[in-house]
Amino acid sequence: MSFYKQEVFMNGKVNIVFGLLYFAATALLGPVLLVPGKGGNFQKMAEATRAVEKVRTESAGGAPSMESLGEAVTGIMDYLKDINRIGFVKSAAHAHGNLEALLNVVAGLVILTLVVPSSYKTVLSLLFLIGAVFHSGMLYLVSVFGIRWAGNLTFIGAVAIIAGLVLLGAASIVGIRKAG
Amino acid sequence: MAERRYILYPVWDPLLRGVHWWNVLTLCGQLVTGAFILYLGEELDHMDHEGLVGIHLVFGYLFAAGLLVRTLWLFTGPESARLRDLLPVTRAGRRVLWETVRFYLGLLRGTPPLYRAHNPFAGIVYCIFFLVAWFQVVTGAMTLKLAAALREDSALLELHEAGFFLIVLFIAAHLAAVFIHELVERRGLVSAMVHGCKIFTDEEIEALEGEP
Ligand code: HEM
Repeated sequence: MSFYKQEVFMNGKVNIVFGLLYFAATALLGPVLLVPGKGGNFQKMAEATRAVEKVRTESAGGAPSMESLGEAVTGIMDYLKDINRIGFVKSAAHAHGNLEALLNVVAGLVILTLVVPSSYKTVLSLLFLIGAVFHSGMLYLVSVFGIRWAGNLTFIGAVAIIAGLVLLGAASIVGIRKAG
Repeated sequence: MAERRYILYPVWDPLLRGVHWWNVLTLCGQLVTGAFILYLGEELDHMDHEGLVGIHLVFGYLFAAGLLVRTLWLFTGPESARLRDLLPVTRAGRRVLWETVRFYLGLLRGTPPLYRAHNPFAGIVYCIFFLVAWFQVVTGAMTLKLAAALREDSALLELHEAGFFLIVLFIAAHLAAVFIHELVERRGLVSAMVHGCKIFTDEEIEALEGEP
């Protein structure tokens, strides 16, 4: 009895196609992060820097005034709140999304070349897709579309990526063979 | 006595076996740390408690990874690993299910039912286990999202505790069932979970392969 049916379904190609397109979407977050009010707010940063500079020059000639200290602290807090509110999650979606997109391309290439039964290719392929969609994909939904609850699902993606990496590593030990 | 030939017949694929033992190991980690948190949680000082919860979280992720793979394998794996093999969806499956129930009710007298991979009665229990295990993973992950101060009296934590007892119950029943079936069937069930093959006589294999 043979365990496996010969079917060519998700053999890695889907990860490569998905990875490249997904990369385009997550890479685009890069320039978006530079737009004021969308990513880190550069105006707020400049204001905070100016206020801190003022404190620094004042303290060179004695104690700085309470007023300048207050301005510096609120400036810094405003800036931090701002990046925390939008910039941080967005840059997380950008960084993890780029990484997981590339991971899908690489994993897809490896899966394509593996000499293992096709059901293994299917499950590996699915794990990397689920990994990207449920991890950085959910971060993307949170930061770009403001869908807050999606953030609760990210652990599914994390788990899928761990499982996919371990299994792909194991499958590579037996499944990467010399031609001939 | 007539000559009988015994054949090592492949039933479990490598991934199913690997995931089975992976789940056993990670679940042991979960049960031990979980039991410590449950029974000694209040006596431990803050640092130890947090440390234990941390280990529980890491093992939880590792267990969830195995569970996710097994769940996908229910739909993508070879026939002996699929949901169709666990649940009594075919006529033959339903017949074996009733034979098994009758065999248990008859206090294990007579010939044990003949099946290839999953016993359909056990298969139903395994499906319930998978569901409870998912429930555990989800309630566990949700609990960790709560602020520490809210965790203590949260209803989530109570559900998570109830799941703990269900899983302990499953493991006890599972071990007892494996022991009993090993005794009455003599097919090398535990070895089969290691190397993949159960032992059948050639007549039994003929009977099994005659089925649709
Ligand atoms: C501690 C947690 C355990 C869990 C959660 C667990 C779970 C399972 C599950 C879900 C299956 C069905 C196979 C599948 O479809 O994946 C199975 C089968 C099996 N398990 Fe376990 N198991 C555990 C411990 C053990 C231990 C300690 C042993 C050995 C002493 C064992 C021996 C077996 C055997 C022999 C089978 C195949 C039964 C058959 O032939 O029908 N299991 N187990």
